[in-house]
Amino acid sequence: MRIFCLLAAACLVTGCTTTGGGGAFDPMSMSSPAPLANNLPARQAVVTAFNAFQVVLNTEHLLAQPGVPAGIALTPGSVRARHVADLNDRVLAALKAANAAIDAGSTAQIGAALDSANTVLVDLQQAIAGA
Amino acid sequence: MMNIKELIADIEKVAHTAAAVIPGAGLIDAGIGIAGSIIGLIDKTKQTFGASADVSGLDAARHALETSVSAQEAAENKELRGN
Repeated sequence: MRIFCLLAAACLVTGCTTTGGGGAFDPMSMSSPAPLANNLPARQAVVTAFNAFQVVLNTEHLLAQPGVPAGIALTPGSVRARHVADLNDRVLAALKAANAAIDAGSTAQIGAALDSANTVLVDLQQAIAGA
Repeated sequence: MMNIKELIADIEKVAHTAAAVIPGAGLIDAGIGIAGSIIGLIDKTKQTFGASADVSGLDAARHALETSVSAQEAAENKELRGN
């Protein structure tokens, strides 16, 4: 339960993920908006999500150490630990996709990637908590 | 968009609770480590939103984080998979 609460703090942070809007087309300049000038909330969300994921990884490392009670331990090589490792891969892939989408200026892809990261982080939280 | 001050206050509350509760469970080192991580997260969050108008700063931060978190994730997965 305590671990669950701690991980909830990390996922609480990612709960603020918003995709931000694209810039408006400027008919006076007849130029499309520069993608790198937009999606500020998405940039903040990705940075915060990476930081939150670091907290989760730190927590996993602590739970993988000897002496942690069996109910919450992430015993290296165990089925539970390997499942958590698989979820780690999925979170990282989603965050990398969000970063790439921001670089490309694709608001739709940013939203999809952040939603995916948030969903997998919740799965990860539950897997670590033994739910 | 959610109120960032409320978000930080909520996280701080959890961090202080964790710091107080976990040592009581006998996991002192783990408790300090986890609470420390969350408190570090709060600092980073404050810095992130404090510099929210600085797009280039955020871009540098997210690219640097992608590199460092990827390395940390690879190391942690190696530990978890037992190889």
